[in-house]
Amino acid sequence: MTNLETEQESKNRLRLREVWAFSLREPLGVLGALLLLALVIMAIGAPVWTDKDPVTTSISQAFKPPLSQFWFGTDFLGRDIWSRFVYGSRISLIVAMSGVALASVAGGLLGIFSGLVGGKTDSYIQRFMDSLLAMPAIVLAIIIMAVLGTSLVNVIIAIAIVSFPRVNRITRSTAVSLRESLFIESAVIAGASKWRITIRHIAMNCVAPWLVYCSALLGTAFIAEASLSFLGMGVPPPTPSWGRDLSDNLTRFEFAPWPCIFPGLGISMAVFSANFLGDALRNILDPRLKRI
Amino acid sequence: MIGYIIRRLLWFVPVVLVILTLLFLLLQVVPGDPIRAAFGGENPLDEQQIQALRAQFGLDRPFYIRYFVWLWDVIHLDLGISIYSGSTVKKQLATRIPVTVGLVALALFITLILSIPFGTLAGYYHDKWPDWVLRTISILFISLPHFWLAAIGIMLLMTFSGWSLSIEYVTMFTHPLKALKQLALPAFIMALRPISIATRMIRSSLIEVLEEDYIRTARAKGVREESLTRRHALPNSIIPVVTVYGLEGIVLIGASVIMERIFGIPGIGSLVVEAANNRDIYVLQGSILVLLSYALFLNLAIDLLYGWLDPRIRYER
Repeated sequence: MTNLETEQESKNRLRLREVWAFSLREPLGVLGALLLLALVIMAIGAPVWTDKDPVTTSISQAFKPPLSQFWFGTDFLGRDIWSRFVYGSRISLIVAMSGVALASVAGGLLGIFSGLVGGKTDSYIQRFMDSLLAMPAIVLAIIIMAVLGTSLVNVIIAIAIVSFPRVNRITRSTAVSLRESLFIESAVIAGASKWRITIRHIAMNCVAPWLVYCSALLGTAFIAEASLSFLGMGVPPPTPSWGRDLSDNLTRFEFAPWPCIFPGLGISMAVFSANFLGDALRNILDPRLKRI
Repeated sequence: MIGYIIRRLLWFVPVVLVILTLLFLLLQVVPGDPIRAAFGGENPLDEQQIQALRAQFGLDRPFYIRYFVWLWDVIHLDLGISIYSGSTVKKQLATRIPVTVGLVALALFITLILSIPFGTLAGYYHDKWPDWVLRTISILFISLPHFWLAAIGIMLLMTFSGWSLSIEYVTMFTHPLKALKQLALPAFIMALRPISIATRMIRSSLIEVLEEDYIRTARAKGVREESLTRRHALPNSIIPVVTVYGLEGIVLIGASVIMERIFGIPGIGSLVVEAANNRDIYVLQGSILVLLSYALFLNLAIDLLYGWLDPRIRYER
């Protein structure tokens, strides 16, 4: 019994040491993770961080510069930019994360299925994905928004549809190359069942490239959400959203730059965090790129 | 080779059909009448007028008939009439396409002339300070959204050089110099992200090639490091990056949608946004057809170029 406990203990210690080693080797990755965590905390606790309402307008308070009674100043309608910044992070995170989550689960599973089934089914699925991939992502997203209309759920759907074929392609190519590999062949000879091979050997080995790719997609999803709402096709007003805040204030940039700068910083921060984290994960998990 | 090209071209047909059919179907399913969207504003038309307009545009017929009529027209190179503005889709596209082509071509050109020296520099000095500087800057520009950079760029130019946004844009084909001046800033901002991505790719590819045996042989024969990198390693390390340039050519179309909106450039990107907002089905379908064909042909061109640059690649399948 004691033996078992020490084993468990050393395992825990090993894990802690791994985390420490990770943070030494990938300081930017840790920075990304911390930034993302900070954004999540900011979004969840939004009412705690600000006592002002993000949508209340008061023209008399318009264009107050930052560091006055308003931390980040006010915009052309006298809305508090700090609270719009804080509440805007909610939209950004909800849309990007649920969009990527939807796409990565559905696209990942379909990719594994498509890669393993092969033949005509695989060919048809992949041609369909090719059709979706042939469009520039933002154009496809704009069309989807035009068709569905602007709402929070529809932005999530648009981002999921755009990301879906990209995830699908990654897990499919991994599954195809795994299918031909020797260790799968030996598992078949050893008498492992179809399900066991699919789940334990193929799906599990798809996890690393899948995870790396999804974290990279998160960065593009942040940009896509911001771009859509910048073009007036995201979450409809008055819900605060960084992209729309930026475009609303763009025409007054010359004499009041702060209502543009803070939402821009928010978007950049979100994308940065996702990209740093994704880069670090790739360095750790993708053995082919490790030596570079 | 010819057979390969023909097979690839034949694949374009189902791809285009799938997208356009889906789009057409989706636009039928969702509520919202294009006529009401176009004329429902300040002076809404009465029911009779709306019905007359519906008949004029053929909107009173069932959607599958409209779909086949539209498809038949497209095969005859007739893209229909805009419900919103009344002019033909072809005419609208003809004025918009040259603008976007100029913008994207310029951005791609800037990407090429900057990313190759930057990538070479970073690869040559890898893990030394020029590499660190270039890598940090490139991850910065991969993460910063275009529209924010554009806003900052416009503001800086306006305050420090008295530069102002153009009201009317000319095309590369009629007034090359003036167009170059107008499009330089948006094209440069659009190019920042592809430059960063290509720089990183060339860097890692160059590092890999520099480890190859033939480089060691050349070094043993006394080739100087500089010409070793430039003449022996660089050409081979750029080959895998050709794909990246091609893909960025497609991504740049997406970026141009945003740039055109910010700078007020009347290109095909802003046409897509306008048509989507107005539910102008035929304009939307026409622009998507153009964008899709562009992307598909570009993809084919990259694959062919790739095979030409690296004769080891064979076109099978």
